[in-house]
Amino acid sequence: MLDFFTPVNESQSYNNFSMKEKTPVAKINLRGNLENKEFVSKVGKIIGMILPNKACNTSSKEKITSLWLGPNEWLLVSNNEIPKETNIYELEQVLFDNISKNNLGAITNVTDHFTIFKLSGSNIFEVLSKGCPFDFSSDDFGDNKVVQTILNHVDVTIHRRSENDVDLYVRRSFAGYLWDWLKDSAKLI
Amino acid sequence: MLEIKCPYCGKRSQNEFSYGGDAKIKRPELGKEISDKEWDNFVYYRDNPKGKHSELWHHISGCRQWFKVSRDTASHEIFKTAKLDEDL
Repeated sequence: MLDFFTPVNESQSYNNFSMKEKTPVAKINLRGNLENKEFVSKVGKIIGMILPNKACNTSSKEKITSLWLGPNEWLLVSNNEIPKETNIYELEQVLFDNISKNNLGAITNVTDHFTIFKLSGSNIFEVLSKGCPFDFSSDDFGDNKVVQTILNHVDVTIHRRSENDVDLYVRRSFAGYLWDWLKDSAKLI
Repeated sequence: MLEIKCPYCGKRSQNEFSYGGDAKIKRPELGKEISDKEWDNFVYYRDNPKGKHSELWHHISGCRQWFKVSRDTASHEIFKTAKLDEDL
């Protein structure tokens, strides 16, 4: 078991833009084939919702949100923050016993792989656009959408909860670098 | 910079993709006796056309899927993209 270790120990706020790191949120990577009915029905029963099958979509319940990462890949994240001492989750175990053990798909706990920067304010996309080729003003990218792209050469996943509330997933080893870049860019707005 | 239409995600910048070579190369059948020359052709020899070319691309910073692209190697115009099991 890993202890939670935060790569950034500060929160920052600028002109209509603020950012801080979210303390641990459970993240489970799920892979499987949507054409396999047994996989779809088992996952649906366990998480209580249908996995999004369209690009960039998400679906959400009280406790977890599932993000579309690819045609056979999803990320399940807990909506609430979890205690810092643990990285063992009941959901992971249930999914592992029902999906992985029956060869229906693969479950990987990626809680400590990614860290989340919580961005807020009306200038979020002003800042992100400085280092990202994705067009945030396109009609396909509204609330509750998720997009995987690159931000200043780093692979990131951007989950837009609402216009002024965005979760930015970044690999832990890149977090310090991206945090510094965000600070630098935010100064210019 | 190219804008490539990923068959899964839609139009994205070329930055998110990586090039995967000629899409028409077929590996010689498994277990079949083949000459060194045929193997050589499969491993090393590639056409280098000026004009329309079928190629593989990988949406490496996006959905991580491979797909086929038909592209003009001189003008960089992209005619069509398709999933691996579809025809270009």
